[in-house]
Amino acid sequence: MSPRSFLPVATALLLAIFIAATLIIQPLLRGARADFTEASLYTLSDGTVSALQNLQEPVDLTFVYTRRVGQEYPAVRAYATRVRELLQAYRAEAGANLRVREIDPLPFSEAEDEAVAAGIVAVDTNGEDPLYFGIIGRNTIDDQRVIPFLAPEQEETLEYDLTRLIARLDRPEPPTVGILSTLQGMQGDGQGAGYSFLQEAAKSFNITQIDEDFYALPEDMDVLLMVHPPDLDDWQTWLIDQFLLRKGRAIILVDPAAKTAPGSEFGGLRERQIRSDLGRFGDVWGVHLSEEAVADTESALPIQAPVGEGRTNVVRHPLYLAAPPAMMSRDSLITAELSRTVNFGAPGALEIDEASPFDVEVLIHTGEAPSWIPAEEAVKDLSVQDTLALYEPVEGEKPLAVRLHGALVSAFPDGAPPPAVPDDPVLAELVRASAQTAQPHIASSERDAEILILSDADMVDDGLYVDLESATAFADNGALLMNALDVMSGDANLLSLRARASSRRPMSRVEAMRDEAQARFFGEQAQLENRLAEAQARLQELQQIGSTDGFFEGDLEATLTDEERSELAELRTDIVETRSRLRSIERDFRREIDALEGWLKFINIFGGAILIGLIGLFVWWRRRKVGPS
Amino acid sequence: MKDTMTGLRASYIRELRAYFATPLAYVFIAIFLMLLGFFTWEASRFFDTGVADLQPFFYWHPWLFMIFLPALSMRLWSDESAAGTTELLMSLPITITGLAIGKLLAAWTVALLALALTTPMWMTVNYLGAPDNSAILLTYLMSALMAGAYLAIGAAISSLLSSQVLSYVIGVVVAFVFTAAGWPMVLGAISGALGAGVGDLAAQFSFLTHFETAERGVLEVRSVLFFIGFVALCLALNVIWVSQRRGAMR
Repeated sequence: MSPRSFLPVATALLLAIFIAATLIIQPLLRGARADFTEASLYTLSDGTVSALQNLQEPVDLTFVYTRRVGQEYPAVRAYATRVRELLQAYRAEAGANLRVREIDPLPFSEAEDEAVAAGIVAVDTNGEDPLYFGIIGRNTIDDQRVIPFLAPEQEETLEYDLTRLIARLDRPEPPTVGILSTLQGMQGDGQGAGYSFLQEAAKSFNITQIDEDFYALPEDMDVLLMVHPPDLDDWQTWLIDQFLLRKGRAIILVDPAAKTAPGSEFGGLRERQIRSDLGRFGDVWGVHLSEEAVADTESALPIQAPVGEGRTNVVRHPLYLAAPPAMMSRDSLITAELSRTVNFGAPGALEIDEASPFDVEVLIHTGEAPSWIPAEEAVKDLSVQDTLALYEPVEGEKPLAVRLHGALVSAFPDGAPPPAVPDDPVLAELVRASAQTAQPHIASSERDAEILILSDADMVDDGLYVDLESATAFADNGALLMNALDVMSGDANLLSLRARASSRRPMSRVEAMRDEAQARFFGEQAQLENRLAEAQARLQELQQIGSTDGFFEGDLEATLTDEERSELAELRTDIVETRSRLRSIERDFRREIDALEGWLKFINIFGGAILIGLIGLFVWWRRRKVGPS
Repeated sequence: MKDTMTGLRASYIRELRAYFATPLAYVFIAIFLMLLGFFTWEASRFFDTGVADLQPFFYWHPWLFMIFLPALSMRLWSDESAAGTTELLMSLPITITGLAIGKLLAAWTVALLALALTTPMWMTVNYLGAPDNSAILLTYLMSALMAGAYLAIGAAISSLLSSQVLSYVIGVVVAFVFTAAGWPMVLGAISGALGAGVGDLAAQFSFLTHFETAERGVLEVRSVLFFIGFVALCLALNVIWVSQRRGAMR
């Protein structure tokens, strides 16, 4: 070989070796990785491993991904790699019982038909070909479950979602949810009628209604869901008590002021029941429902309210709470993935005894200065102004949703009470018969109980979270309850997946500063906001007098008395001043945080450069001192 | 028998001295640090993310390396040919392999010093919250390895050309190819023209792809091997190109 041709040939040879080695080695080492994240976010959890190893029947997973479109979105491309590799890890763990394939649904292909038929969402990408990015799961009896769209921001729950999908396919008979409720919307089997939540639940669970006058509970019930339950007699309470000791899974929505309770105060078929509570269980569990309802200015829900003359305006109503994710627990799977608010209508507050025998976890709480509102007032249609008039801030966040976990003891230490025997002889016979066949009394839990308690029953009502025109949810009430049902009905495998720590790490120092500033300013801010609302209400009142009476004179204030006129002027200056004070509070609020940001920015942009400059000077000085050698 | 280790040590010390004898290294490091800080805090709005995570900081590493590191390595061999010292070097009883490794390590040391001086950023994030420090350490190590790959490109190219400026420009172009291969804009174009399979193949050769897993806190053996393999490739090219020149000179 001549020296002249040696160079290009050797170069080409080296490049070829490198390219070939990369192409061979890269796929081979796909699984060879070490997880450096603290929470081992990229390692299969024990729950998943055990669910996969115990698969009874083969499960087929189809990963649907439009590669060409996905590659244009960095987040989607990275996430697709992650999903693909997670599926491979699943297959490695499950062996022959899990089959994984990937389809690329190009426009007008068979793959696209398959994806669309299965319910994979076609995501619009600015007029280009749609992006399909989801998972279809099927089992041997052709049950099908899908994840319609794999949103990259939900990476945290990817493993949970996948494992749940597989677990559902592996156990085609869905869990049974028993519903005990006095609300109209919670009646029926959820097939085309009732609240959206009931219909959604019916898609994933067997729904069994429990009669208000029940004397036995459904035998195969896995989860008990009570929404504004009726007053229970001792026998019924005991039945529930025993269910909780044996199965231990319940979701309970109680309410001191149920706006959606059926009936009316006047001449209805029966007296309207506006309050439901935990009854005898409250003392045993150490959790009580407040007598009064709570209002909260911090999380007040914006609603359309009439402002006179047939006009409406958006105002924030403190009696309707819209708890944002910041007021929810980020540790519990039930609330961790919620991104929108959970809305409440005149909820109560839960009071937790110090001595509660349970692990009590607060899932949702109010803002820091809520107010008690008497239940008999709260249940009416109070206006914003009336609510603010009753508003007396109390210190501290109040729990709206709590989760209890742990071993229970019976609320009936003396054993089963006698059943209340009705007068009707046929019914009486039935009651006696079911009392005979009831399972023997047990005094403590057979398995640890998981109980979710919410202090509002109205939150299941579509009016609070579903846009009636488009039938889409604008708040996460339904998602919260579905999560809770999933967690409650899932086997232990799914429950353990909950422990995955969030990979989000907040700047805690900044948050602490913000909280401190809030503590300093919130009281004053709430006060000012109240004053502003009052002044505006009074202003409106005065203007209304003017506009109705003085309209034709052309002078809106003509019919006002001198006193009223000077009041009007005062109100206006007051409003302007209050507003500017509020603005300055908001500025002060951020001042320290902004200062911190400024300092850190300076240090990080110029600090390193200054340091290297100093090192340079030092080296130069040393060299000069030593002298040229 | 020429001694590889001796050549390595001698050229390492010689090159390192050369870097710090002139203001070049200082100015280079200072500008690099300021730009990195500026991009992290102003372009990525690190503080406004509210998250104690260095992702907005590491995001810029490949791009800044692409611009800055060829400047560090452009003079490694071009200097010698310009000053006519190549022949002198070749006559010494040391191997070209030792020389090449020594030169690369010297440039790498300067890059590592620059990386070490970003410690304020790490302290800041620990001051603000509780970041995942083991994941951050991994990302730093991967970034250091990646810096080596960028320097190796520049070193190899400087051995082909006697002009520093030319070797800088071509070094940046080659570095850009290996960075942008994983860039969505480029990948989309490749996939559109040649099919999604080719796009995925191209992504396997991108520094971005291999750095990205480390940014998430996952150590991928194949990514480490890729960077090591890439440095080895560039060194091998470097050595044969230099020996070829020597052969041609004789």
